[in-house]
Amino acid sequence: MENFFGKLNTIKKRVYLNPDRKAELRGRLVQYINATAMVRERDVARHSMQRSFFINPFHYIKTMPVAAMIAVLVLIGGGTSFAAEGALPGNILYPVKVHVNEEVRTALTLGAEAKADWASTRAERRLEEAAALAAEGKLNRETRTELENNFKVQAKTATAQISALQASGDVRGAANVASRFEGALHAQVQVLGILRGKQQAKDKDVEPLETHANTVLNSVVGVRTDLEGQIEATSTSRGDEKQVEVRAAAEARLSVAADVILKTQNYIDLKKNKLGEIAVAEAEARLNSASDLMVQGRAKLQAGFYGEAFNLGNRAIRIARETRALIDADIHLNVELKIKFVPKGSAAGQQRKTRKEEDQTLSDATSSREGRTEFNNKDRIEFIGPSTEEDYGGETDGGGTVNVTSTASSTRVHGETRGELRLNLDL
Amino acid sequence: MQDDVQQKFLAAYDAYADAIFRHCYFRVFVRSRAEELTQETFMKTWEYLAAGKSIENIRAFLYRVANNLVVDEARKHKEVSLEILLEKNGMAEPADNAPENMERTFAAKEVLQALYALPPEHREVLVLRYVNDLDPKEIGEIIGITANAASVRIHRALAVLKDRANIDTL
Repeated sequence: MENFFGKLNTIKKRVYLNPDRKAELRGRLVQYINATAMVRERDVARHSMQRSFFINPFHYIKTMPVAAMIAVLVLIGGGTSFAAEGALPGNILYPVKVHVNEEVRTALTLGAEAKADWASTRAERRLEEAAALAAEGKLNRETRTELENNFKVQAKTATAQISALQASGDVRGAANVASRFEGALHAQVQVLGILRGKQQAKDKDVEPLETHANTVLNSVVGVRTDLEGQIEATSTSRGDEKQVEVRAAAEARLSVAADVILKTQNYIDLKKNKLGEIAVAEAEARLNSASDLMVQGRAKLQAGFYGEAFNLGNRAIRIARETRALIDADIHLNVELKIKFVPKGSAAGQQRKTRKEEDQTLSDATSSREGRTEFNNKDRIEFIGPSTEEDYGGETDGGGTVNVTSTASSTRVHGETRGELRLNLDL
Repeated sequence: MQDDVQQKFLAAYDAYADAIFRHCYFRVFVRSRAEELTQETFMKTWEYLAAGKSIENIRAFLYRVANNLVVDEARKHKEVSLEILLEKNGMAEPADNAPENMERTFAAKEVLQALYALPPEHREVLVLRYVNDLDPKEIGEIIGITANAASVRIHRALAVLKDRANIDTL
């Protein structure tokens, strides 16, 4: 062979990590760093935690069927473990949910807007958890305090990050996050309001949380309004590039609105038989108003009022998402929600049907899950939890079986419970 | 404190990930496996740091870890033919039939074949020397021998390479 080293030199220059891959691995390392730091502090058996939790996706991705892929993506992609996802305070897996899964996801989230969005989602979760416990009558002083404190801290982080977004010049991004946060808070405040007074003992009641949530809500509304004002102001200013930017952003927002409204409509249809007639009517009326806003937004877009169009888009999204959150609360918490939104012409004195049936799938999802799930062709998979984030749905493309087992063993250390989570994916 | 270590570690990743990857690739010949080994190298290095231990020369440390992983790997797996390994990379067939590409791919296969034909200890030093451009002192540090011993090993490896791969210009 001639010129071996010359050839070697040429070849080795072509061997390097693809920049995307390099960044991806870096992300995984950060995730690993955060998790091992957590783990060290908690004295959980480190070795099994590392090896089992960080499933190497390289091995599996090429060979698994779509159904399993979705399960794995839920487990790895968002960094969430299915079994812990539905855990409430008091459940052995709750610390995993909050201190591992959520932290991992925090590490994996890139981009200021996404980070702010995730931060607000975390805060919302605390409220959802409180509502879920209260609905079952299981909220005690200890867990309530824990949730209160966590909510305060996380809400503060979220609002700080929204402000930071604004300060960095990304006014639209800040508006997006603020609007979404507002919608979620508004829904939760309504839910907590209904649950208030359900508990006999005062110190186990949701009221303090409701109050906090309301305070945060008011502040976020203020921020959102302020941001929307800014957006409308800048969009009418001179400068073609600015106009093009805002127009594109408005179009994008309105298109997201259309998507969310459609998804919510599908969701209502899906859950119809679990909701009372009035609840369905109210949800649809709400969704109609979201649709109207979207239409208005489109009109503004055509007329050249891009800032207003953008804001209307966000408003439509907010209302659609709020609708969904309320539906979820209605179903999951088995609580009759007196939704304040009264469509014109409804019969005011109509009695709501009570629902006695236990919803099996949903109660499964809200507790730790173990078991074998089979998918058939064209089955729809939905992972439903107490949180109201976008569903991890999808269609299967072929049959398959996903066997998720979780063994949670715990050791008591100084009165606290620590858990160890092992996941086996049988693909 | 923790943050400081973390920053230094991530800086090391940014600086050396490509080099470690390149090293692993020329040892195992399969891209995806090289990526996995790279990831594992850094994870193990972090584990070491997280346990509170300090590392003086992180570059040498990384190479040492990677080297150990590659050696362990070889012990576990049977020797597979290079054809099969290259096929995993999609190198069995050139992507398109343009002459330059064919030539390049052919040259690449030749070189990899030559490396593959070497026994592991020889491949090890040659890759460190001619792929990663490390000098005998650094190589010695990584393997755990003196700089002189490393030089000697390199010369021996070159002799074997010349012999086995029929390399005429050395």
